[in-house]
Amino acid sequence: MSWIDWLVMVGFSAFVVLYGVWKTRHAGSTERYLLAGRSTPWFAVMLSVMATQASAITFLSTPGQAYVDGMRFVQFYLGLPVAMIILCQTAVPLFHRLKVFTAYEFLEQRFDLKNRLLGAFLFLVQRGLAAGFTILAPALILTVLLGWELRLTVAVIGALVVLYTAVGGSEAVGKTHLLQMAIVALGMGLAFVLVLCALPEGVSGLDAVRVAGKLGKMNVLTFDFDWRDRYNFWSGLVGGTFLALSYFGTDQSQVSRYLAGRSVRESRIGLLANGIVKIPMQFAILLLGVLVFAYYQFALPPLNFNPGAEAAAHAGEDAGAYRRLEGDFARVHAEKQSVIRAALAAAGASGSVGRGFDDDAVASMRRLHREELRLRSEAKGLVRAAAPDAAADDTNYIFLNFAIHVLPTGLVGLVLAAILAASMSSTAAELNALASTTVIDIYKRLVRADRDDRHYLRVSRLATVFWGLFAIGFALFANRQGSLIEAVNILGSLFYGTILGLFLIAFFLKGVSGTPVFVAALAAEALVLGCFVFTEIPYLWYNVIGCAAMVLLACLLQKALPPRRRPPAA
Amino acid sequence: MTTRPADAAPEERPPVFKTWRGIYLALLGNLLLLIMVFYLITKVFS
Repeated sequence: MSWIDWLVMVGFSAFVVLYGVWKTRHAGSTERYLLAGRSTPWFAVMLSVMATQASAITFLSTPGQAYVDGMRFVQFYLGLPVAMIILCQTAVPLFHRLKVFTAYEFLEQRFDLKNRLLGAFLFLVQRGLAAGFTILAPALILTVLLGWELRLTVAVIGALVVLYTAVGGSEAVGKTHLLQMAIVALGMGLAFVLVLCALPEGVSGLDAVRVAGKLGKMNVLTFDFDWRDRYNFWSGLVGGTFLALSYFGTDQSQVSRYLAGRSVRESRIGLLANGIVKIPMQFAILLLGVLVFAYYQFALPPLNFNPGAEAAAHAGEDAGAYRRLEGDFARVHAEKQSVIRAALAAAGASGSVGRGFDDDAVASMRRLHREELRLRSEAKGLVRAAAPDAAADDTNYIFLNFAIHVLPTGLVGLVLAAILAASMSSTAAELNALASTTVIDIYKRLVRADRDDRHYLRVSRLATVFWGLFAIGFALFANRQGSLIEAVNILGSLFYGTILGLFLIAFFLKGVSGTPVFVAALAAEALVLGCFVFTEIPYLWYNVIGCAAMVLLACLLQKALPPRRRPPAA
Repeated sequence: MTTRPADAAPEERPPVFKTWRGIYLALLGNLLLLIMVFYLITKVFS
């Protein structure tokens, strides 16, 4: 990496951190610290909601996901606009009217303390762990790029986020979100243009997409219903709606973003704008991954995109076998490349409007592609044997590897700055929400209820630092996961169904009381964890299963309970 | 549900549309349009 890249990356990142600290150094009250004084306009709510959801994992792992599995991951987001509408009509006006700091305060008002604590506890566990993932993702990049020690990198990135979040709280989170989203849009937009420019002469962007399509990467929508299929239209629309309802309606990291809106109207518009922008944005990021895939149809990719894994395989006992695989891979790739070029030339010469490929050529492309996949799979086996600690699954390294080796000087730094900005933006919102829940739902409710506002402000800062350290600690032990974006979503889905059930009952089933809800929540959570451990049901369905089980059980238990006795009239 | 009627207060009126229901329908229409575009892309390129 050149000094210009360093300058761009460090310059952007330092500016964001210093700006956040400087602009919000006088957070004078708990309300300002935890909810930015409830004064945020709608466009800032929208950007903040988007920045919170779109972490570095989104920009690192999603293009790799498209490279490996095609565009179909976009179906995951189909339920999001539906969820936005439901929340705008239910949770947003209610939370605003009750003037709550956290979503879980509402649970006590509706049920009782134990349900509030259960909601807060489930949030703290899953979001605390997820915050570790969001710090880990950019650390992995820098480790690969610069050969830094992973633990040191995690600590430095985590410390930067903790610094401005602890100083400025929600206001710092919101103000830096605007800057961070601008950097992300610039970095990813330029990367998109330069991938197109990197394609060989005579191969247009449309040609690239057509080739990728023939090799199975343009599978945007799949309507075939299969329980075992992780991403299809039905799991995206149904499971995705439940997941988005749960994430945006009950996860304090998102609830705090729109509770900071200056009115119900501003919060609603912010969420609805997110419902418009999110799917096209994810589509564009996935398309970037498909274009990277298309680029590597004309240039030889590494057998494994993780340089650490490759180095381990080269140094291991089976180094000879790995080199043989590399040779075979290069041979198959060259053959496939010549088939693709011939097919493109023939389609161009035929002058057909659709530039259709010859069936035989497509069959050859697919056969050779399958052969490449087989060799990549064998290579992963050798990596695992040589170094069990190295990440053999290279999904998260694909886009980064491409950026380092193909993008021009300066832009590598900008892409890295964008990835760092995305990581910091979501981690900051998570830490702020974790601190809010810890202070409002646990500390102020159970430990010290009668102190002045300055005391709670100080405790909020301490809670932010605590959760920052917790997330950093978790990140140090989570570096062997597969696709990071999937890992985060799986983790969320383990808890979201139960939390959503809790809130749905609170909103819509007035006849159900606290104790049946609490028992049903514990049982539903056990059921979801059982599904995770003992079945192969795709994770998006956990949200539906947990929520449905929770609602059903709570209603049954309520019916089974004897009617509550009224105290005798005096 | 205990929320107030969505369109009651003048300061809570949505932009462009007269009611929030109008905006919600527009958002659902946008989703439908995206699904149709994605379907076409899948058909054309796969």
